[in-house]
Amino acid sequence: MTMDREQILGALRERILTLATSRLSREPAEDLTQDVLVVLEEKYPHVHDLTELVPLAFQVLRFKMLDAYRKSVRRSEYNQASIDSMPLADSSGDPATLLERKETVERLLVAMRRLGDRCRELFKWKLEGKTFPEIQKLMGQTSINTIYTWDLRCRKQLLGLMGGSWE
Amino acid sequence: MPEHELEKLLGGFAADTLTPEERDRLFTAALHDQELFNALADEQALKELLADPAVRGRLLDQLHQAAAAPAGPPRSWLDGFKQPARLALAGGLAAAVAAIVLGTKLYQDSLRQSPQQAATEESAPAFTPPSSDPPSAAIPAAPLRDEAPEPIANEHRRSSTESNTGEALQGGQMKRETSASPNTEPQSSPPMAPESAGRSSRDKPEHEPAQPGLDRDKAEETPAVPAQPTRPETPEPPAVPAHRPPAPRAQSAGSAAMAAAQRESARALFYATEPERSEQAVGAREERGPGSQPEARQPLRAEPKMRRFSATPGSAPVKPLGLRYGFAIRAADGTARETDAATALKSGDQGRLTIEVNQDAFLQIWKTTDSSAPELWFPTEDAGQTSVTVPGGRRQGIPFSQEQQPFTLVVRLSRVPLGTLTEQEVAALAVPSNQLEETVTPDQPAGSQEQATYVINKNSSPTVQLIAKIAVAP
Repeated sequence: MTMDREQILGALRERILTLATSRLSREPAEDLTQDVLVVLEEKYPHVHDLTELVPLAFQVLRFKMLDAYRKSVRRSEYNQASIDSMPLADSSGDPATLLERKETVERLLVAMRRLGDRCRELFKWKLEGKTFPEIQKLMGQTSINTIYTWDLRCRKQLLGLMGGSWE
Repeated sequence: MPEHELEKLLGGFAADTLTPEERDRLFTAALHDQELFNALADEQALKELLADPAVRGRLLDQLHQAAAAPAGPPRSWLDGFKQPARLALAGGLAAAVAAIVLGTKLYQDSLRQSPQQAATEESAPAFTPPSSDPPSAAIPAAPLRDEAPEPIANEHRRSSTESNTGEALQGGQMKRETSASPNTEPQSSPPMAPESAGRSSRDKPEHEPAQPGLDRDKAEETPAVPAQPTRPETPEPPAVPAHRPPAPRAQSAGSAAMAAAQRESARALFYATEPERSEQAVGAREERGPGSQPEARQPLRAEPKMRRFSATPGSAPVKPLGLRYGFAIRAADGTARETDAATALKSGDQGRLTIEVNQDAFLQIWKTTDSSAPELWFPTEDAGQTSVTVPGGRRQGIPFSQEQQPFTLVVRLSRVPLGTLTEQEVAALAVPSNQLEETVTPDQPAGSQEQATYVINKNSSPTVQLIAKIAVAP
């Protein structure tokens, strides 16, 4: 079944609101969801494909959640000043963001070193852009599910070595 | 792939390596599965990291290096310590090695220090039996007063000795006992272990320092008293035992047996094997000038010549413990002259009790009267000691203070330190029956100008105690 843009945005709104509500209070979650949809509607009206629109929604959602988190930290959660008057920060030029990114990369490198040989081999193929079917062939596996399972385990192991979060 | 296994594609989402079909299935499922949607949202952070070519390049470099490592040389053994368990094991081993090294060092240090501690203990005035060796072997032949300051092996004794230097009194050869243990000897003079006695002789200084300004109190050695062949200041020739001094005027404590033993003159026994006496001390004048003021009665700095006790117990007959005491007054020219007790007492500050022992010994003098309790007369209480070491062969004087009533001085002499006594114990002190006592006066037929009393305890026990009671009446 092919979903059109309105259906995709409707589904996205429901998922984003549920996700945001689980991590923020209700009102900020609704605001966050609305902000994401506004961006998708106003800046990316030409994106209709599911495989493009959903990743784009995740990207916008993450930016908005980071902004909401930073603003709540900077101004405190009980500050009633409207965030609409505050321009969105440019994360690329934020020293704090750059530092966090650098630290995350370092932690990722350390975690990668602690992985087993198979996981490191699997991640190497993935970082080289190999798809799962290609990795299956490279690793000599007859079943693609084996690669899926290995990748899932290696991903969980890496996430654990990273402390349970990619950030 | 079943719907519930679509999460296995999450790894491909972050690396952006999903095929179009996988992407479509994953995102379609995410729109209908909140958990999968949430998981994808969380993977977005990693996806952004991996989207950076620089980050991806660093990760790839590291993975390539790790992949190349198995094909290369074996991993360093140090890599094993990166694991917590092995790191803990290595730490434990390191701690054990450090403990062993430290313990070994402490043990070696203790072994190294043990001789020093033994030396410190040896500096205590533990008794060592008197040596029967010839005087030349144990005692310097040079006069003691002219000897260079002794090398003191023990710092404790040095400091104690130096602190007492200014307390020297008349009879300057007598020194304050610096290492005596006040309570080491009870009334009964317990025996001392031979090991202790043997150690005591090792670190004793060989020489005593001259004590400038001290009244050596060689009263009999001054020209005021003509030197006599039998004078005690004069070292007895080897034939001294054959010499028979004038017959004693006073007899010993009254024992009939002792009277029979008087054939062995106490004076002769005193000088019989006297190795300590100094040749040059004979006839010497008092070192103090005529104008010197007599000091108060205090024990002098004592430095026993324990080297003289170098003989091991039982290796040779023990020399009987001997005491010579008398009274003397100092003339205006600094010379001293022996006299009787009454004259010395009446002379005030110039009078003194002279003491000489035939070997290094510990001295303690109690004063008893009929009307008051016994008191420790020498050393004085402020000296902080109950006995002082008196070097053998040196006559020393203890100044008198003005006394108005008769009193008795009870002299205790021992080769081991003397402890304090109670009043009852002092009152119970009795002259041992085996003691010889001989008093020499100037009117002896031999013409001796000596006026002194010799006391010899014939007991050869190392812990023997000589007791003499000196009645003094003003």
